[in-house]
Formats: sequence, structure tokens, C-alpha cells
Amino acid sequence: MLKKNSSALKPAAGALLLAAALLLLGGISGLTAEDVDCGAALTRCLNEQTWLEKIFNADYCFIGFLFCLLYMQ
Amino acid sequence: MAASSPTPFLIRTTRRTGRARPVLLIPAAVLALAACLPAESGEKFRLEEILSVGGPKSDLLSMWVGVAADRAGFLYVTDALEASLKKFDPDGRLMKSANWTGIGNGAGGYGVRRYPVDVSNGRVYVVVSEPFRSSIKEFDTNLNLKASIPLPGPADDLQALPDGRLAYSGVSITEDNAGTVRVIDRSGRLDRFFSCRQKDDPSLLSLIDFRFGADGSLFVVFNYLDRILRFDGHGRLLWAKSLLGVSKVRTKKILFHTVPETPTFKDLALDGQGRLFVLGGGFSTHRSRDIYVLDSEGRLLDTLTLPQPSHCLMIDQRGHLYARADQGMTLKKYKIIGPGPADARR
Repeated sequence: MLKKNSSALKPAAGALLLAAALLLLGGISGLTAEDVDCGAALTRCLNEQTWLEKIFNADYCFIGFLFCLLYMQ
Repeated sequence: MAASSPTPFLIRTTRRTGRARPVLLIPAAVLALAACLPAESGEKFRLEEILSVGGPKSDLLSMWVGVAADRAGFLYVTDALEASLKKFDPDGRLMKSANWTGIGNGAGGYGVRRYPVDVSNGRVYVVVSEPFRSSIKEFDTNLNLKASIPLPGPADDLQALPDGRLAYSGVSITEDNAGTVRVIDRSGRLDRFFSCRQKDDPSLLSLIDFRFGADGSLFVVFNYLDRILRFDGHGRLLWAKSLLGVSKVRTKKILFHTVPETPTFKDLALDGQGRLFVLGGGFSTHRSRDIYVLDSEGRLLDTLTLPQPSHCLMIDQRGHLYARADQGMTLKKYKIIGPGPADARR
């Protein structure tokens, strides 16, 4: 099941899941919810998008970013 | 399209093995300590914890994001990391879990989303926002998928109205969809449309949460502006309220878009007396923990503080309040104890 989910993930999901992972790992490294850098996750998501995706799926990274702010911070 | 880092799933796998690694004991202890903190009372209201579902040492919830309760007290919870809808009995025992597999695009879609959920008339509704094929999934109360109602774009909040219609708020970088509440019938046909944003509001600052009251009025909070609104059933603005004294939120420009840096309000809920419970964000004294209690005219009655940060609030039909704890691994249920007839009943 893990493989199935992984193959279906998109960059924004990856970036934000990574943020979630950092959050869950926060206790280990001393990170807190406030330390999760949603802006960095957004930048990474945008960098991974092709220009076609930026045009035709322009919402994608930004919406993930907004949720990251709401959930993580 | 690049596959995502598997790191989050490694965490999940670790939790599911049931073998606690020593390095996880420290954060678990911190979380356990935090869980012991009581909710801080306001002058008129206070919260009393009456149920806790999941937890750092449990595998019931990995990262819950949406919650709804039916009349009998059964809970329907969406879990973003597991991409699943779960049903719990009123005592918090897991009854059933349904995976998104075959329903949507796994845990992908628009990143880790809120997956808003609501229940009404024996049907459970979940928003699954995905590129080009966002929809509201309709389940029966045994979590069998019954229908999929297509949406024109992603949605951020959902309310199943008692008359069978569904209301949702749009989220988009385009102005047409940002800051809107649409009411649709179960075939997806648009019935009502409310635009809550002002003309000059950047679309990405226009993310909203909403609730319709019993009298048909619409309450709206902006997630990235210091603004709470109430409209009447005809869409006329009744009042607008600012609570935080934030005249201009901090923003930055990314790819020509104005993006926010800090949430103002994270969610709102209505109790049976028409009072608003608004969860504050980063501008509140206690980040993501302060709950502002307003009367139906927007007057601030009190401020409560949750023991731990949450991203959302829900109040069920019995007046119990639900919020997040342990970074999404725990769902807490509180009795709201307040003045007059609004006291919650167990």
C-alpha cells in the first residue's frame, strides 16, 4: 500500500508531506510546528513543476502552501 | 512528475510496528506532558475534556485533518497521512476505515489537504481536491462510497446543510474562485453563490472558512485577513469584525502572487445558541490555541485557550467541541461549560 501511495504523490504532496514528516520528527531534532518552513516547501514544489504545469495547474503548489500554513503553523 | 520523499511513510511505518524506538520516547514524553495541560478558562466559558481519541502511542490516527459528528455521536474523521475516512463510536472506538484508494488520487492531490468532512441525513461527505477533478465524495454511514459530485475546482471547507444541499468554499489563485461560498444540490447544480472577498483582496489572502447558522445566515472567517463577516440569507452583509488589530498582514511575492506568511484565523464553529467559536492563528497570544467566543452580533464574549495547537474546530449538535492535539495524532472532545442555557449537555 505504501508503494501505491508513493507513486500517486505529486511534488506538492511530497513537499508538504516532508513538512509533515519534519513536524512529526520535531521532538527528535528540536523542531516545532513553527519551524516548519512552508515557504521552502512552496519553492521546492514550484521548482519541481514544469512550465506547462505552472500554467495549467497553477493552483497546485500555492494551495498546498496555504494548507501548510494552516496546519503546521 | 517526481515521486515524493518516502520519509513520511517511514514514520508511519515506524508507528505501526508497535515497537517504540528509544529516540521516539523523548518526543512522546513531551507530547504526553503537553497532553496533561488543562484548557485555560475564559471569564465566562471553560472547556472540560471528556474524550481523547488516538495519541502518540496509538495507531488510530496519523494526522487527522477533518472531523464531523452525527446526531448519535458517531465521529467521522479524515486522516491525511493515511488518506482515509474513519468512523468512531461515541466512546472513541474505531468502527471502520475506508481508504481513498479507488476514490481519488491517493494522498496526492493538492498536497496534504484538510479533506473537510461533514455528515447530514445519514450521508457523510468528504471533499477530495485534486488537479482537474476535485469532487465531494458521498458515503453512507458505513463508509460505503455512494456518489461523487464533481466540483469545478478545489474546495477548502464544507457544510452539509439539513435540507440536503451542500455548501463549500472555493480556494484558488484566480479571483473568481477565491473567497467564495457555493451552495449546490446533490447533483452538483449551483443553487447559491456568495462572494466574500473585497475587490482588492489578493486571491491567496482570501481563503475562508464558513458556517451557515440555523436562520440561514452565513458566518465567514478569513484565514489570512483580520476579518470576520456575517451575511443574512440573501447575501447582504450584516456586520464585519476585526479582532486582532492587524491592519496589514505580512506578505511576500512568489511567482507574481501575493502570498501570506501567517494565518489570522484558522477555523470557526457555531454552537446551538448561534455563538461563534473562532480559532486564532499566529497573531493570537497563544498561537493556534486561542478560541474567541463571539455572540451572533459579533461581540467578543470571552477567550478560551486550548491545551495544544489545532488547525480546526468543530462543535457537534450536543454542543461538544472537538480540536486537535499531539500534532494530529489525537482528537480531543471537550464539553463547553458556559453561562445560561447554552451549557453543553452530555
